[in-house]
Amino acid sequence: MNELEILKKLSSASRREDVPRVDVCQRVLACIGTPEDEMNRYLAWIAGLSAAAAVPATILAVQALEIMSDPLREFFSPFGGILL
Amino acid sequence: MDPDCAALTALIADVPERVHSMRPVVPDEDIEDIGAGLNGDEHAYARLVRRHQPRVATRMWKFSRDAADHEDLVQEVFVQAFLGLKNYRGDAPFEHWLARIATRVGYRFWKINARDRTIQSVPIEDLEHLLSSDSRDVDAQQAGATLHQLMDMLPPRDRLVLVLRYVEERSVEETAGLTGWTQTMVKVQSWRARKKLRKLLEDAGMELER
Repeated sequence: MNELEILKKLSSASRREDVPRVDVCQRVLACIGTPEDEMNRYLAWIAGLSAAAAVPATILAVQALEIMSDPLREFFSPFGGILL
Repeated sequence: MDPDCAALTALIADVPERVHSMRPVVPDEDIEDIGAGLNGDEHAYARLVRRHQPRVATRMWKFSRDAADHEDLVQEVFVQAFLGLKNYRGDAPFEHWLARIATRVGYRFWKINARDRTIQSVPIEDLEHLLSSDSRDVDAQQAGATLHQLMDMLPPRDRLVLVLRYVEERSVEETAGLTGWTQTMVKVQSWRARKKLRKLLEDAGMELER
């Protein structure tokens, strides 16, 4: 018997073997559904973080605007050093 | 027109033109599910998975006999197939296209695992017992396990060509189609792999005929 005959004998016997049954349907569906769901989750996080950052930024911007547009600012600024 | 027939016609009308050209080689049920799958219908794809998973499972059993790895491999084949579904041209049955993906997935699995492989010895006692038994009396499970153990001692490339050519009894042309190698490459690789297998068996103390 040579190496090829050995291989063929083992192969032909192993062809009668019962292969374990698998059902990967749900797992496949979970996997192929994941990218979209994950993307939505990322987008939701980005939206949440943007909103969280936008609130203090808006407050600071309003305050800065108020300071800069204060009509008495020009008047009081020369006395700033004296007051301190 | 029969309402069922009308619904089916409407469904097929939505299927891309490319899918219609599959008719001569691809079964109708596959055509409909591939078309719907391309349109994002996951349930249609689930039907394809259910229909083809027994054959894919049989194929992947040659790549891993570990139950968990085996299931992962079958899953990976269908995930890869879904991701590449838009590239399926329909010029060969869906099953053949899946076989190409399965070969790629299995080969990659072997290559990854080859790095961590522990050196084994040829299962010489099992082998001699199996070879001395009459073909009909050989335990299929044991034959499969011994064959797997023997093949596991070869580098992935040699193992792949031997499995496709002699275990699955595929032609040079089919092997080339599944591996993406040229037919000359398949013949050369096959010759080298046989030589390595022979050396492996002879080193283990087996006397082989020419």
